[in-house]
Formats: sequence, C-alpha cells, structure tokens
Amino acid sequence: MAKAIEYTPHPPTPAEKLGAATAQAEPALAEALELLTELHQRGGLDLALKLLRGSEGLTAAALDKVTGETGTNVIRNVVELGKLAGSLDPAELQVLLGALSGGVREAARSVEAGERVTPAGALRQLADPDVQLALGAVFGLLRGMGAGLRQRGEQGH
Amino acid sequence: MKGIPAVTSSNDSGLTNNIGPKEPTAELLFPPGPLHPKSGEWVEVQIDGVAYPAQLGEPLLDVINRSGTELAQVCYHPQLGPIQSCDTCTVEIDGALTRACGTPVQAGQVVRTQTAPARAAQRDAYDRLIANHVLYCTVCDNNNGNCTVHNTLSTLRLEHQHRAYHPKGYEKDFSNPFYRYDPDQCILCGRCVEACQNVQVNETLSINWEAEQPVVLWDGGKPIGDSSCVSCGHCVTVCPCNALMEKSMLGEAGLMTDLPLPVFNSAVEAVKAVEPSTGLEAILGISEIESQAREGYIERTKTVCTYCGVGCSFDIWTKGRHILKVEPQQGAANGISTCVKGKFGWDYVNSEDRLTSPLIREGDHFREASWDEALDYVARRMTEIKDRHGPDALSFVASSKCTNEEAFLVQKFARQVIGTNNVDNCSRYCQSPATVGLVRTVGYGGDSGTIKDLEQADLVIGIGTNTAESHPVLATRLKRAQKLGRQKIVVVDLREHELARRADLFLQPRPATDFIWLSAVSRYILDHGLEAGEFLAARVDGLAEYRASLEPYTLEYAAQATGWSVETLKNLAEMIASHQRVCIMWAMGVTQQCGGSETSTAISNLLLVTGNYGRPGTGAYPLRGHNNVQGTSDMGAMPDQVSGYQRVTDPEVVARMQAEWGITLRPDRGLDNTQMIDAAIEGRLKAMWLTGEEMSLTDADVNHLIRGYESLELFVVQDLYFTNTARYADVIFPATPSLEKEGTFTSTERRIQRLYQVMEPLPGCKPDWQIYQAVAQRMGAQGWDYTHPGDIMDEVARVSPMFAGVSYSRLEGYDTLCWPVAEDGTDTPLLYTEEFHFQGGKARLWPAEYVAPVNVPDAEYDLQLNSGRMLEHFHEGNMTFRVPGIAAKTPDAFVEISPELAAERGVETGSWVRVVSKNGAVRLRALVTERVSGKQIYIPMNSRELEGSVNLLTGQNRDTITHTPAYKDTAVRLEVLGERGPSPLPRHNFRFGQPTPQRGVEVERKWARDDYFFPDGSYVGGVAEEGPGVGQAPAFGSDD
Repeated sequence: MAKAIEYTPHPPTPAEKLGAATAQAEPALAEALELLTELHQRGGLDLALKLLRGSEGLTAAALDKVTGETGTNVIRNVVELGKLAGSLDPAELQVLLGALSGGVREAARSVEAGERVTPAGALRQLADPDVQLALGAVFGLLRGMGAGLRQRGEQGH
Repeated sequence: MKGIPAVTSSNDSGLTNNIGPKEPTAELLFPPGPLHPKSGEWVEVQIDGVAYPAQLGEPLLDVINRSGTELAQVCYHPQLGPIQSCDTCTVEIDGALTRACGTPVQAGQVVRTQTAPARAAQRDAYDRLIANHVLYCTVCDNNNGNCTVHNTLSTLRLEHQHRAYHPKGYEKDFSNPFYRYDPDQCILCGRCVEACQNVQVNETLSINWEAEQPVVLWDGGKPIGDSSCVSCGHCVTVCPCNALMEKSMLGEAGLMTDLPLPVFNSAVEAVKAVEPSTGLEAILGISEIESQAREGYIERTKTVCTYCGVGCSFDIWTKGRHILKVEPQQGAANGISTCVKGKFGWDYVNSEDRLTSPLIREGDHFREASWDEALDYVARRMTEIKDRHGPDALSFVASSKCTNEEAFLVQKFARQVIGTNNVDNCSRYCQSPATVGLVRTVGYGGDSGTIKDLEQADLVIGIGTNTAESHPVLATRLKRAQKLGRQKIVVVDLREHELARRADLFLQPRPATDFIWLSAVSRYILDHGLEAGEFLAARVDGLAEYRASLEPYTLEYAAQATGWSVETLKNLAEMIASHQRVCIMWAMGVTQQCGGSETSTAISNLLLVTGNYGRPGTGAYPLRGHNNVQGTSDMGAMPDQVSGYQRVTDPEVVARMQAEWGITLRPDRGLDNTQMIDAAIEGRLKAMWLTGEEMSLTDADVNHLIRGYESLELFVVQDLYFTNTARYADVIFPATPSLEKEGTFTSTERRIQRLYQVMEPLPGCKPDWQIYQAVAQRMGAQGWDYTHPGDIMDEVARVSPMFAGVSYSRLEGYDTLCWPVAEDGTDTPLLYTEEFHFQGGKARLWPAEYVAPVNVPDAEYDLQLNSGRMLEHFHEGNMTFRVPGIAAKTPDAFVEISPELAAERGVETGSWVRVVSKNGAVRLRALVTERVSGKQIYIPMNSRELEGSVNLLTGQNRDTITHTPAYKDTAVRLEVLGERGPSPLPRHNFRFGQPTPQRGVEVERKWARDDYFFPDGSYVGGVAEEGPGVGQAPAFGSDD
C-alpha cells in the first residue's frame, strides 16, 4: 500500500571516491611515498616541478629550434648521414679505413720529419707499388662517384 | 549462419558448372551489409598468373581481395560497392589499365596487378589523395590500425609525396552533437556520400564536383547540426581517414592526440620538413609504434545493440568506462549500418542518475541498504506472502531489455520457487496479437524469414509500421532496394511518416479498418482465380471454410469502411497477386487495436492465399520492438507457456520440467501484465517483481495503473535509474545495462546473438541474473548455482526442443543462430520451406472475425489519438533522455496537429494545449505538421515527465485475445490554452532539414572536371564527349 515517494541518487563524492581508491592502493601508495621522500630530499621534486612549469616554454622553444631552418637542416643532415652509414658495406669500409690508419701514421711521420716532395719526386713516388695501390683505390672512388652522379643526372633529378 | 541458404539471386540460376564452390558459404551468399545480388554463375579469371573462381558480374576487386593478393584500394568498401573516385585500385586487365573495382567479372579475364604502369598509376592516384590529407598519423585519433589511408600507404610503400598538400579553405564543422567533419583532411573519396545516399538513404550528403574546390556538403551546404542529418553514423563509420570522426574519440584515442594546438602544429610542421630525407615510410614506422601502444588501453568488445529489435551488432571501443566509439563492420543484421541510438546513444550507461545501492522504503523516504539486507528482506517478504496468501498472490514481469538468460530465470523463479504462472513481459503491449495470428495459421509466432528476405522481395507492404523511425536499419535496406529499382513499397498507415512519403503507394485507411480491406483483397484474389492454387492445394488446409468467412467482404464494403475507392482496392489486390515475392511487415498500428489478433490473422491468411511463405523474399514480418522482446517470449516469460513456446498444459512439457526443476507445472494460465494491475487493485495480487520496464509510462491508462501500484504490499523494482515506477516501490535493486554483463539477445529475425561484457558493473550494481539467483538461493531453491550465463543457456537448450542446439560455443564472436536450432546446430533463417509448424505440416487458413474499435470519436471526444515512437528516442526515453546529444535535438513530447485542424482551432506550432480523454489529460505544446491529417492527432510516447505521457489518455480497451491495450483506439478532445511557447521541436531537428537526393557520388561529374585525368593519361576530364571505356559512367550505376 505504497504512495509514491522521492529519492535522488547521488554519485560518490570526490572524497568518497578518493577514500575508496586510497584504501585499495595502500601498498603501492606506501612505496610511492618512500620514492617521493627520497626525491624531495635530493631536490629532484623541486627540479621536476620547475621543469613541468617551464615545459610549455621548453617544448615551444625546442620545437622552434627544431622547425627552424637550422634545426631542420641539422636533423635532415643527420638523417642523410645516417642513410649513408646504412648504405655502406661494413666489410668494404673496413678495408679502406684499416688501410687509412696506416696512411695517417705515415703522413704524420712525414710531417714530423718535415719531408717535402718536389714535382720530380712526386713522379718517382708514382712508381712505388704501395702508392699505386692507394691511387687505384682513389681512382676507384672517383669512378664510382662519377657513375653515381651521371646516373642521377640521367634520371633527371 | 548455417543451415538451408536461400537462393543467391532472383533468377534462381543455381550453379551451372563445376567452377564455383559446391556449397557456397553463408559469407559468399550473404556477406554482412546491404544485399548485393550475385548472378550465381561461376567463371574463371586469372590474377597474376593464377586462376581463381569468380561470379559473373561481381566487381573484379572482390575476386582480387578473396585471392589474398594485396592491392591498394581506398574508396572501395565491399558493403558500399564500387565508387570509382580514387583510382588507387588500377590494375592491368586484358592489357589495358583500368580500375579493378569498376570492372565486372567476365570469363577469362587476365589481371596483372603489379606491372610497372599499374604500380605507377596506383601511386600517382594515392599521391593525389594525400594532396588533400596531412599524414600526421602519430598524433591522429584515427591511428588505430584500421585507417584505410594509413594502411594503403603501407601497401604501396610510397617513399615521397610529390604533390604538395593544400588545405581546402573551409572550417571544421562541430555543429552536430556526435561527430565532426574536418574538410582539410578530407580526401573526397565519396564513401560517406555513397553511404548516406544509397545505404542509409537519408540523402543528406553530396559533393559539389563542379565547384572550384569540392567538399562534402550537408543539405547542399548547411551546418551539419542544422541539416536533415539523422546522426545514423554511416558516414563516420565508413570514412577511410580522420575527416569524419566521432567526437568521443577526439583527444582521447591516442597517446599524444590531446596536444595544445600550437604544439600540435609545430610537431606536424617538424615532421613534414624532415620527410624529404626520412621518407614517408620511416614516419609511418613511428606511427605504427604509437598505434600499437594504444592496444594497452583501448578495449574492443563485441556487443549487440540494446535498443530496437533489428539486432545490430558491433564492437564498442572503450578506455576504462569512457566509450570511445561504436564500430559496426560485420554484424549479421547490419554490417556497417547503425542508427543514432546504436552508434551514439550510450551515454546513459555513465549517467550520474545510475542507482548504485539497493534501496528499502522506510516511511516517507528510501534508505540505502546493503545487498545482503535487501536480498534477505525480499526473500523473507516473498516467503511470508506466499505462505499467507498462496503463490498466485505474487507476480513477475521480465524485462524485454534484459538477456534471454535473465528472462528464463524470471519465469523459472515464478514457476519453480514460487509456484505461479503469473509471469509476463512487455510483448503484451506490442506484438502478442501478431504471435496469435501466426501461431493460428503457420505455427511459429515470429518473423518467417530474415532481413535478407525483405531485401529480396519485389513487393513489401508495411501496415501500421513507422519503419524508418522504429526499425531504422531494417528500413534502410528497403529504401535502398526501392531506390535501386529492385522493389516496390506499399505503406498503409494513418500518418505520413518517412516510409509513407517514399512509398510507391501510400494509402490512409480510416482507423481500425485494416481487417476489412485485407479480407476484401483476399476475397477478390480468390474470386478472380488469382490465388496460388498449387501452393494452397499442396500445403494449406481450411480453404473452404475460410472462403465462406469472406462472404461479407466485398470491395464495396471495404471501400465504404476504409474511405478508399473500389478501384484502389482492386488495383491493390492485383498488385499483390501479380508480384512474385511479397513480404508484409506490420507493427503497432495493427496490433494495438481491439482486433489486433484478428487483423494479424488476416495478414497471414492473405500471405497463404498468395503463396508467399517458405520461399526467399516472402513472408510475414511482425517487427519486434525491443532488442530482446522476441527472446523474452521465447524464454517463456508468459503466463501460459514455458521456454520454447511449450504450453504448460502439455503433459510432455510438464514431465520434462518435473525432471529438470523438481516441480509440477500448473496448467492454469497465470495473469498477464494488464491483469496483474487489475488483480492488485482488487486485492488478489499482493506482490510484484518488475524488472527493467517503465510500466507507468508504457502501459495504457496510467491513472488506473498507478492505483494498481499503490495497492501492492510488496513492490520490488529492478532498474538502472530511479524511474517514475520506482517511486512506488518497497525495494529497489540497482541492475546493469547490456554493456555490463554477458548474455544473448534474440532479435526480430529470430536471430540469437551473444553480447560480451564491455565494462565491469558500476560499483554497487549487479547483473540481473545474479540478483534473481541470490534471492532464489535465499529461498532455498535447488538448481540455482549458475556461474556464468552460458550455464543458463545450456539449461534452456535441455528443456526447449526448439533451442536444442543453442550453446555459447556456437555463438562465439559474430556467429548467430536463427531458431529453431536443431541439436546438431543447424539453424533456420527461413521458415516453412518444407513444412509448417503443425501436425501434418500444413498451414491453416483461419476464419478470423472483425472486431470494431470502441473509442470512435464522438461529439465530446471528437479527435482520434494516435501514438508511437520517434527515431531518436527509445520508447518512453528513460535511456535516450540521458544522452545529452539526443535530448538536445528532441527535448520532449508534443502533439502533432494537422494544418487544417490547426487553422480550425486557432492553434500554431508552440501553442500550449490540453488533450483530454475520458481517462485523463496531458498538457503539451502543439506541432503543426502535414504528417497528420484531418481530425487525427499524434503524440510520441517519449516524455520526460509523467505529465506529458500519452498513456494518461489511453484506456482499458484491449485486444480481445491477448489483452494487448488498444492504444491506437483512443478518442480525445483538444482544449486550446491560449499561451504560446517556442516550437517543441527545435528548428535544428533533422525533420526540418532539406535533403539532396541523388544517384550516389555521381563520380562522372568528377571525371568531367578539367583538372581530372586517369593516372596513365588515357582519359582527360573536361572533354565534352564520352571518354574511352575507363571514363564512362560507373558500370554499377544501379549496383547490380
């Protein structure tokens, strides 16, 4: 025998929700508090707060640098160099670079000793089998680059 | 779906050679989405050197996709059909470059997808698309693994973009409450236009190809929120990028998509500046990583829509309790289709109004109680009442919104724990009369086929159904079939709703005269030898008696009764008799009348007379309203049946239930909903447990019903919110909506589908089945230890022969079963192919009788009151009023008044009026519209407050057999109150919009532009005459 009566459902208040969540997460919260205490003692919290407050400025500044021409160029050049690094065969590179180290040593010794090579002396050097080997490598490099440049020109870039 | 498939096409050609599959799978015959009729004839084509079977006439791209070959395609979607606006699927066919989507299969075609010119064309086409679209995938809300534009970049491995991106110069449109359009990301593929024009057939979207800068337009150029857009969601679902996005996704889906705009813009600029070096693939790689990270917090769960009886199914994406979006793709009934409620109507789940604690009445207020206390209290009180007054002093109302498993438990509780047959559900208010009509004539009380049959019909008759608003997705299939020229639609109704406007023939009879014209048409067909003689002779009994019963129903009599001409009736009869495949669908205009059962019988009789049962594209379709009203009746929540429509008087059934439940079923019919109210008022009924039904707004004669509520000693109400009904309760249980539990729903197609749990129940709430179990256990019942709804369904299968093969393992994912389901799992999408559901297998023509309406308008109550649903709201609106976007579009109830009546009474839109019947009165604002005519008015059943509820006006008149209230049989008078307010329907409601119907995307207008050329240059736009083959109007202009 019931007349109509009213009721208004109330969703849990923020305080109620927080209370429930805290109780449930007690172990995690306890550890988190330890972490925060350590950070605070070492000034880490302070730094984090400052960084966060400055973040928009920092990001904006960072993005500004990145999107500026210099920034873009730097990134692009890094990417291009990266692509180069990716496209070279390590084995082949090792051959040249290994030999290069010997060459650098010989060059340094020569500079140290103050040696100079006259045009006539240069011609005589050309007869040296070691020099010839190196020249072979250099000309190989020139041929390869030239072929690449020629192909690029033919494709109409 | 398994079982006997319907034929593939209307010409019944069958398989003519040994190329195609011997036993075509359901996926091949009826893939999800709107019907694309296939020829059924199999041929062979060659793709990249390998032969594949293909159906003559189907798009070549479908064959390529089935073969597993990876091929770019952006504007193509199998459910939409070919659009041909993007050109990315260009391949070499028999030596020439052309689009794979726009080429119909012919025998012996040789296709090469990766020749150098084809590859160049594909990439060039894609390059043109991304000139319209910035690839900021990493910070895009659509980067979820299913973005077509993004994935096509992967397929093509395009290194660099050649054409520069250019914005279109239009602002983003945020004016619709649910989604936004970003023209600057739009690739103008036209998928949205195609979906709106030819799938949803709301015809709101178009692209202005002739403009300098084309863009997608709503109503030819209005803001979305002011247009005819019904927010069905098709366009957003099919958009291949982020140009059309659900607002609930923006800023929520991605890790970094919520960046402030300046930061976002800088990030995008940085990436674009670096792209010439890194190439697009590297950037894509980063976005893939971000996309995968999202899987950590985005859940995708399959569910079935909780709203109407069409039974759309889809994935819901959630992040915690936040609903990101509804993603329909492969639901058996709907495919990509949804309506505003299914796509955008889920806010109610997270409403602040949700009950979160059981409540017990204490004097003049409700006290929050623990579950234990509330459950103990209910168990104790029910036991007391049963002991003191007997089991029939208690009654139970199951919810048609709850699952099959829950409905089964309600009737098990009533019968096993209490020992009464007083159990019912809201089908009582709706389709029970149709069930009677069908059970009398053909044996099963449900749709005799599926939506696929409605799609294959060549004539569909809708009687008393506002299909486009009450069963939107089902209506889209009819509108599409009609638009593409495959089907004629006849609508018989009082009110000129959307389907009536579109119908090939719209007839408005006098109220409650459908029985008469149906009988007259049947008689005419028999008198003139137009009946299906062979079918009747072989498969139907009772012709002689039936013919005799039609004696009074001459065309002249019917003309006089309906107000139509004899000529009209004659033409209607001949139209029905001359079409091969006729479906008749009906709803409340037929059933909510005193003669609802008899009229439904007459409909079935007519279908039998014309042989329209048991064949694809034919049959009877009483459209079920709720998501699970079919299921709730199937599960036996009825006063005279247990699950599977087994009568409580059947000795075999009694024995079976004895074995399973340990009790003896009582043979006497229990109380149905309307009788429960009467019994409560009379003091015979002391207790009622009502689940998920706002009876005080949906039952007729509200004033009478409230007296019933007030008379109960124990009223247990189980619901999501504190509804008007809950105000009368003694105990309130907070239950869960469909997203917070598992179970199955059965749709109007008799299709059983599983819903999976999307989120945990809101703290404090319990799934309904657990509540029933808890009380049953406390009352000492045996056999109530279910751990999962699957256990309950196993019990249903054990005790119900028609569900013998139903089990969760057969319903995993998107699998469905249409009952009856044999023990081996074979289901029955199409009924009556071999026999009708009677001893002997023959149908029965049933001589039905005309029942006249009782509330014909008279001197005092001179207007006829009609009522029904609106598209945006579901029934009384408890759920949909809690979706802010819907409430803003359609804030409350109103009364539709015809222009002629308005002029006569001095009423304008916004005028406050009182509508009075002999049962009660309501105060509403008027809406003057041509949808109603003469002295007929219309009030929608959704109302925020009790004071606006149309059921204050309806009365005690009921269907003679089922006691379904005759809501439509109500007479009222109008009192003009003199005050005037604003229009009750805001101007921006879609009903005031101006759609722009066209054939589809009309891509040939794009091809005619002088900046268009086919990728290999073989066709150039802007030329006056027809181009070569590749530039002609689409081969699929009419889709078939």
